[in-house]
Amino acid sequence: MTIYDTNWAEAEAARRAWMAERAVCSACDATLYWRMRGRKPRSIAVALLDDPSGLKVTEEIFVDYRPGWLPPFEDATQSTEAKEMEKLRKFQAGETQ
Amino acid sequence: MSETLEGHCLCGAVTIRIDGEHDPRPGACHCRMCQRWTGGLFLCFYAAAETVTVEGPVTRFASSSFAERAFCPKCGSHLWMRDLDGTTSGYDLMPGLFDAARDWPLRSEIYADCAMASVRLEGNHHRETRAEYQAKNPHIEGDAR
Repeated sequence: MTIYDTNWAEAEAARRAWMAERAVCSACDATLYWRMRGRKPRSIAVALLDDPSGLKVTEEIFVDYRPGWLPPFEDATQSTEAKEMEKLRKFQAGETQ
Repeated sequence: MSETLEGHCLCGAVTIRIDGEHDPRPGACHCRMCQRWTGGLFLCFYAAAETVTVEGPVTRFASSSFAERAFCPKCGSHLWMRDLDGTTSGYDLMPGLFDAARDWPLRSEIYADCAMASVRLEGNHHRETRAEYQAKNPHIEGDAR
């Protein structure tokens, strides 16, 4: 196994080529957020908060990959991979902002 | 289970092969360090050191005096957690790297009383509270990071 330093120029080039980005802490790899390119982050890792107790799960996506031991939340909307891919297609076609 | 398994990170830079004994039942940890690292839910499964082959770039972060957390430096995918005592320690690998893990049952939850309200795992798997786990593992220095 080889340990490398991050090639930031390469990482930046890869970032520009993608529709979405995932951000992590470069030192410890803690998960920070996910966002569509050109948009502000709207999907921020809950565990970063010191007190997430006021939050409520309102949306679940890619539910077709849900394992049996991870039950759905009663009041959360449920979206499949097919629905999410359709949303992505519309975003890429400029039909949604 | 001893079939050969192959998995890779999100960008494909890191490939992990397991050739031999491993436990195809992920365990969950809800300690504060694992929550911060993953963003919410830490899952891992065990494979003996001699069965694991890693190809590609890996960055390792020593998150405590006795364990490291490894990740792909290109895409940030979490790879494993492992004791720092050299080459003999087994790997606690991230199941999401392996397609086969989709059907694996949950083995256990530790720090079960610390789980976030948005992470509730169902079933009759083994559960341990923070106090129960730390009583069995006195080398744990605490998880308040």
